[in-house]
Amino acid sequence: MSRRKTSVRILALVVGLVVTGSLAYGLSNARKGYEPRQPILFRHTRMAGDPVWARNEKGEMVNTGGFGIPCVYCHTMPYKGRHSTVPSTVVCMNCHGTVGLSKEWVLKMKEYWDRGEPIPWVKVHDLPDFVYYDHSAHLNARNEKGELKLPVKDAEGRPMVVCENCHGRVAQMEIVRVTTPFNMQWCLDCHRKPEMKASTDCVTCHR
Amino acid sequence: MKRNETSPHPEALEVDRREFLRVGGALAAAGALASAGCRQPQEATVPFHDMSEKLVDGQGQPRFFASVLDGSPVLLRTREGRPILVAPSPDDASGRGTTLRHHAALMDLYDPDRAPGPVWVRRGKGAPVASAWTVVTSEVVPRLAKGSAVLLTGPVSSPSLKAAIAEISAKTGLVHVAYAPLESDAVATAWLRAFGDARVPRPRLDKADLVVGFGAEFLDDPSDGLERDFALRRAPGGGAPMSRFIQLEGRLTLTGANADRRIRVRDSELASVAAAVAHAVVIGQRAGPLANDAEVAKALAPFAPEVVAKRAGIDPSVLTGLAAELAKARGRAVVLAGGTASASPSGETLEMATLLLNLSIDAFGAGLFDEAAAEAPRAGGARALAALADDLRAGKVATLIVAGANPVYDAPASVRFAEALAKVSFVVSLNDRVDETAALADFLAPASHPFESWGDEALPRGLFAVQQPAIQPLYDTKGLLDLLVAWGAAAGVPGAVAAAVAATAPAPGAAPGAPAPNPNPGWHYLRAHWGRTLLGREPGTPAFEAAWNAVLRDGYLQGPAPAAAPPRRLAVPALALLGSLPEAPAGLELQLYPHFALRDGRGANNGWLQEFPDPVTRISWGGAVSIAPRRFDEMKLANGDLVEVKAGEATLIAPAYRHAGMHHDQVAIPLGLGRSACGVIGNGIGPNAFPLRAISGGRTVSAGIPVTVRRVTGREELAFAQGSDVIDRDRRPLVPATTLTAFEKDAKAGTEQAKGGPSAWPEHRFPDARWAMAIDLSKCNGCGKCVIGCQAENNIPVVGRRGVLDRREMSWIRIDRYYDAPKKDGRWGAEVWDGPLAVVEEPQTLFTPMLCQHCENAPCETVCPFVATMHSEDGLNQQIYNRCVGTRYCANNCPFKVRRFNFWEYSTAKTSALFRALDRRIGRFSDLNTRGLMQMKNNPEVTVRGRGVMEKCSFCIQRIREARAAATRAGRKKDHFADGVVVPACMEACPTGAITFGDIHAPGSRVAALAAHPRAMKLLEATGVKPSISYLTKVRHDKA
Amino acid sequence: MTRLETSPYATVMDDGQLTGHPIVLAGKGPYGGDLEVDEPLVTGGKTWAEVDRDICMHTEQFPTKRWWMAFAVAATALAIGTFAMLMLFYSGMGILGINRPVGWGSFIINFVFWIGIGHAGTLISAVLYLFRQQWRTGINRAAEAMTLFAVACAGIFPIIHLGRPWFAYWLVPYPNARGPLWVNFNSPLAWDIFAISTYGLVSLAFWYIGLLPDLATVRDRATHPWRKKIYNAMSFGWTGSHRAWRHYESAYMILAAFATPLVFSVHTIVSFDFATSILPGWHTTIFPPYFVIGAIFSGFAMVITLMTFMRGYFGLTNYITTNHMEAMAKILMLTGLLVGFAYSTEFFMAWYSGSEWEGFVFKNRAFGPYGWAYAIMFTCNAIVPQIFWWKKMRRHAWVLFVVSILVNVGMWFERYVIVVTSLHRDFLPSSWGMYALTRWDYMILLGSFGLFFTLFLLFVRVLPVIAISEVKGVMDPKVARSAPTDAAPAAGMRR
Repeated sequence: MSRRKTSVRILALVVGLVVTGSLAYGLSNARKGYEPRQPILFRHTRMAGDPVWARNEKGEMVNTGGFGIPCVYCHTMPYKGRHSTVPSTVVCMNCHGTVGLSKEWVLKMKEYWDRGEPIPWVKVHDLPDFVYYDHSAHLNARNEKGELKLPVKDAEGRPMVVCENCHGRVAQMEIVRVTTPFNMQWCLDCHRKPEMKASTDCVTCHR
Repeated sequence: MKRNETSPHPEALEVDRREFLRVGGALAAAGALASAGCRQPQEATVPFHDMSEKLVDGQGQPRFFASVLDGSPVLLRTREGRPILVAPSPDDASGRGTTLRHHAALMDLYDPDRAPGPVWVRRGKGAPVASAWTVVTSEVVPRLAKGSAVLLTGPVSSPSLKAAIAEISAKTGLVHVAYAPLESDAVATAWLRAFGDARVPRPRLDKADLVVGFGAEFLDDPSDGLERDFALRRAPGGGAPMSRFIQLEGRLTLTGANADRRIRVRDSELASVAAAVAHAVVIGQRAGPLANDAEVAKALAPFAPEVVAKRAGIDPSVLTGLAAELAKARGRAVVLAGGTASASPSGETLEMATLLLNLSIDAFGAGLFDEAAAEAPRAGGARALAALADDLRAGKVATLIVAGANPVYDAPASVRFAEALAKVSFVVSLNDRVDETAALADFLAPASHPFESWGDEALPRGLFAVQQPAIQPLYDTKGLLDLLVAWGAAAGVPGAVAAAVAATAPAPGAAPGAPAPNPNPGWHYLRAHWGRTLLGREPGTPAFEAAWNAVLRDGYLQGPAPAAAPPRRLAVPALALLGSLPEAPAGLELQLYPHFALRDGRGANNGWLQEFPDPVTRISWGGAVSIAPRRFDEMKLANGDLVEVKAGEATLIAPAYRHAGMHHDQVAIPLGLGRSACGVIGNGIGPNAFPLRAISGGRTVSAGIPVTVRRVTGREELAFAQGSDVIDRDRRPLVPATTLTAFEKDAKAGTEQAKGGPSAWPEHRFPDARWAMAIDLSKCNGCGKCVIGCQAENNIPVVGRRGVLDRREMSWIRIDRYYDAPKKDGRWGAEVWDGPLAVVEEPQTLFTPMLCQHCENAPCETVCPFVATMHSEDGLNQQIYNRCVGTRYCANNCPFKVRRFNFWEYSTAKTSALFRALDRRIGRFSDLNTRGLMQMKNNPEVTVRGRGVMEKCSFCIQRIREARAAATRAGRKKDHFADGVVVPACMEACPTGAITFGDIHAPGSRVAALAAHPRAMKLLEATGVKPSISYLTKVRHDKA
Repeated sequence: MTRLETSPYATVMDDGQLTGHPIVLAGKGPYGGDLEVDEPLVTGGKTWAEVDRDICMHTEQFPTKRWWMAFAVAATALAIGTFAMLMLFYSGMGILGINRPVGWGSFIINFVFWIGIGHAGTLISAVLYLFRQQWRTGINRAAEAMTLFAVACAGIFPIIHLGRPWFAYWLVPYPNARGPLWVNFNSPLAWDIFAISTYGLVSLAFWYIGLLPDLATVRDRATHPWRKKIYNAMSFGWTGSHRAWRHYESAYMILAAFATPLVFSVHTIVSFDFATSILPGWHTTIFPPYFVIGAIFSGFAMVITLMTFMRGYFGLTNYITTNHMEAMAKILMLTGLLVGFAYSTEFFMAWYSGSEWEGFVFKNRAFGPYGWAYAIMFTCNAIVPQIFWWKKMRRHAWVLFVVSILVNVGMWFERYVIVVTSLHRDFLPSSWGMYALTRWDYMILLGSFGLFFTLFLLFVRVLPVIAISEVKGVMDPKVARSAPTDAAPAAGMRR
């Protein structure tokens, strides 16, 4: 057959693939990579990251890394209830009433505090509203041997906070980003693992 | 995409980390954000600005408050500071019960038609203008101080409020008038005259083997909680033998519908009939302590059973037989009256005859009356009001303060209250909105809802409850107690009142950082009063605080025992109340009964109550003139045809209704409807029958009123929530029912039905827990609290009158009411659906709570192409809204028709005027469901369903999930769940324990035992759907 | 009886002279019997050239005033329906008459109705083709077109009857990121998707392949270059070579074989929507045959209606002769009898089953509040067509027309009775209710007719409404070749 015909066919094939691919992606609803800007440039690296001691130009040892504050200091309740809450501004003020008052973003936060307004944070790990996710049910889930069902070591065997299974290594993120697909497929991949013994009933998440 | 697969409203429910007062704003924000992008809508998550440490644990968790509402203890469930459910107090020692109004109180709290703040109403001359508290206070206080002021309230049972009023009256000469529209003082008079003490002890229906009611309505108005005691003895096979209930009445009430035997007697004859029965007992049977009492014999002489029976059109043997039964059950029987019939001109006679009967069968001696729980009847029929109206007309009153009363709407026409009101120089209303009375006042000083303000309540058995608020006032309103105390203090009332107000100011020399004192004077007054009268300690002392907190936790306090009741010895002069045999009533008579849900119409702007179908007539959104079936047919009427009712001067035009079991010479109209100024929801719904009431002998008369009824042209469709009234159980065995005789022969009697063939389906496997329910029809009295409880728990929308007319009710659980048709000759096609007279003149009423049966082989599951409804591992029939696309195939295939479809977007306003013009049904729902703060009542654990989605009972899945999560948290196994771990809303609301829910696989589970009970029956076995709900036979006690 | 001295083809017959009886020739046959021939299928002594002209004419000349009027009416109806549909999407199902218990209303009724209409076409073209029924050639093209348009109308309703039509695509099992979550293959509604789409596609292919030679004819007659180009493209450059004809014939035969079983499968599956439920009055094994017969019945009625129009408006009486109409009348009468039989069988079974629910439902159908609908259905479907026992009636244009209309009214009510009366009173008397169409239901029903006739009117404007090549095939060459000789043999002619 003529070259023209073949080229036409190849073109058709490509177009077809692009269309179906984009459609599939569009319907897959993967949230991976979502990285919204927050009203305040809050650096988890600084608050939750590991400390890094270095000499500054004046030659003093300063912590250029983070303070290693545990997640639940701010995000209370994940072990007790459905929600792992976003801290109220007063939690920030626990420390920033006295420290870091020279920093731009701390001052921004303090403005909110002084105005008596809550900070309109943007939801990053945002499940659809018809999904009733329960933090406590996941963090407390244990198998017969009484071990946590959620792994506390990552693929390379390095220890990790249990939260990082879904939220990724937030402590190492300047700006928090979704690092998992965060869609139904992803939930079920885990729920269907035999060792998890997790329910796959619809009402487990949807009501 | 996902985001758009559900209604946008759950955003509004994601308030967990939001201050509840920001919900309104959050709603809008969420809406905007949701529309921001299809793929990844950006959503804000707004934390508290400054959160109290106490709240940290509370986030996303319900918090409970024990409080009291309208004299009944309740448990308030709140989320993030929003009350979202009213439940009966679980440990209530007072014996008081809840009514539908308690369960539906949330709608009153979040009612957008409440006044947002003080209003200068200007006596209805010119449009009302928003005002300020300072203005109102400056207007009221000087006048209050000047004296000749009158405070018109509803019945006041709050000790501290009483005390405050007393203090103010002492100083300023304020006159307190209490008026309760539905009270007719017959009971009070009779008891006072008979025993010199108006307090009425509580009948012990749980101890009575025989209960005889003369127009009793303890199931129609269960606020006294008698329905619980009653139910304890209504199921056979439970410890004590089943009790027998005989009711004599004119209109088929819910109480009468639950009677084992019902004798039709028109209200005006009821007194004579009761006296005749007393005659038959005392003189005929020579039974009881009164047998040899000459006085009594003399007084009863005119009421010879033969004579009375003849007039009343019943067989004398019926009365003598009844008397014999009573005499036989001496010491085990109790006789009740006190219903609407007691509000007839002969009401006092009726009460007196009832007393005589109780005395002659030793009801008092045998302890069938709980004297410890004696209560003074709620004072204030229209006698006081009429007097007040005269004073107003005479210009004796300079200032009138109206609080919790609405006489312009509900006073009898003859009082001419509106016109009297015009004579008063200054009127201020403390009601929560510009209602009929407030519209004619100078000012409206809106009082807060009981859930927003402090107060207290005196309960039976010497209990005292604190009405503690669960939320800050939503609008610019003040608690009633706060207001009176503040005004009193300002008017120069010394003592506790002044002290309370002083306490609101920061103490002199208090540290600058010290927390400001509570700004509510009512709170200080309340605590001081409790300190003085009950706790015996000064507020502020540690001992007091400890005791006070205990009270707040428990909800009530055991106070000093009430004064002992007088010996129940009859005072002879009281016999005069019997009088002589009155003229035989001729022609039609009218009964004006309180609307089942709305009662006196105070909560008429409540969509849940308006939409609740009357359990007997099944009419929602309005009322009708109930006419006896035979008369109805003779008048060639059809349901909804307009008739004109003429009582004296007053006339009323309303649709007619063929009321089964109604006495041939009686018609009845519900009160509490036809409000003109209660709000968008309730205005103009149904007829207002209050003006038809008369005053005779100083008593409000709402029964036995002579009337004429004639047909007029026109129709007004009645919003029935049910299709056919009649069931022919031989051919449709859908309600297990039988008689005691049959039951004792065969415990399975009444559960006979065709068996199904083998099933083609593979059996479901339920390895661990399996949820199931059992409903005991012998205990269920059809009150419908489960319906409201479910509606509140599951965010079920109100569809409005139009919606019910279109047969689009949304409630997940309904109470089917059937009249049991007598056996047919087996002829193929003898039909009973049109309610032949034989069936509906002496109806045998059956109630069936009908909800999703969570069938094992659910027909809905196989037909849904989208897999939106599936079976769960624990036996639930799951309905997944976000997967549902709305083919409605499941609903068609559901033999129980319990699935509900969202025909409209009930949860948002469709505002486009153009489209509204095209179809006037569009956009009505925002008025009913989403105006103002209405959505704050929503339960954040339940999705608000969007348009085009099917929904149904989920067995309160949110509570099941919470129980499972709790088990995980506590590290417990989740294979079985003990009874009471999961309690669905309907079961929680049910006062009689008719509903039992639980894990049928759990060892020793109650529901398992009930499902295996010989009385248990699963519906439609022949279809092979295998419901998870077992119905236990309704047993009728037929043994005299 | 006409006895002709010479060959019948010498005398030119026209439609008026047709008797419906065979022509008896002079003389005796070899075994002494009469010599008989059928009356010609194409009358008026047409030549091949005239055939081309008569049929292509309507695609070539400017539309007549009558066409415009018809088109205006149809388009208006379509516009009304479209508006109502927009309204439906804006405000939700609430504007319709459906309620609890009657969860399915006019939309499902219309759906089944149109699917039914869509049956005659394929039946005529495929089944009659396989049975070598030559008279089909006059009507098969239009009938197939009708089928397609009817299926198009039917296809709309299952979508718009959804509460959330924007998720209708979930009915298609495509790989997704929800677990993945497939459709429920237990549900007849899922089967519908496959059944109907298959039927639609096969009918389309069948119809279009049949069109190819005729499109070529139109192309050859075309004068305007663009017209030539377009029709050339549409006819896939048909040359009329022997090879082309051979492929064409085999393809046509194969597709006919494909389409035939579909005629029966589609409505069988549609009937499963009801038969697989547990609802008394729906849960019936008789439904598949009952629905298929009903469909053919209504389909033929619609063909008769349309053919009457075409005979009248486009003067095609020589191609769609009274004999054609009579043949269809006979089928109508037969299927009418069968439908009536189905109705009575249902009643017998209801009584014979001894089931309370069954018995009640059917009693309620006939004598309950919807007895009137049942009466309309029974009269129009089972009684009226029996008029065709009289040949006079079968050949009377107006009778045919009126009866065909009545039959379709009856068939709409048959679906009304099935859907509504079964739902409105089922197991629990407490949830009984009534159903009535709202003005929006009516508007959308009207709209579906608007769509149907709009499409059909466009079809008669741009495509040959009669299968030219097939008609030529059943003409007598002796007559058709005779003068006028100027007519060049068209490529579309079969040799």
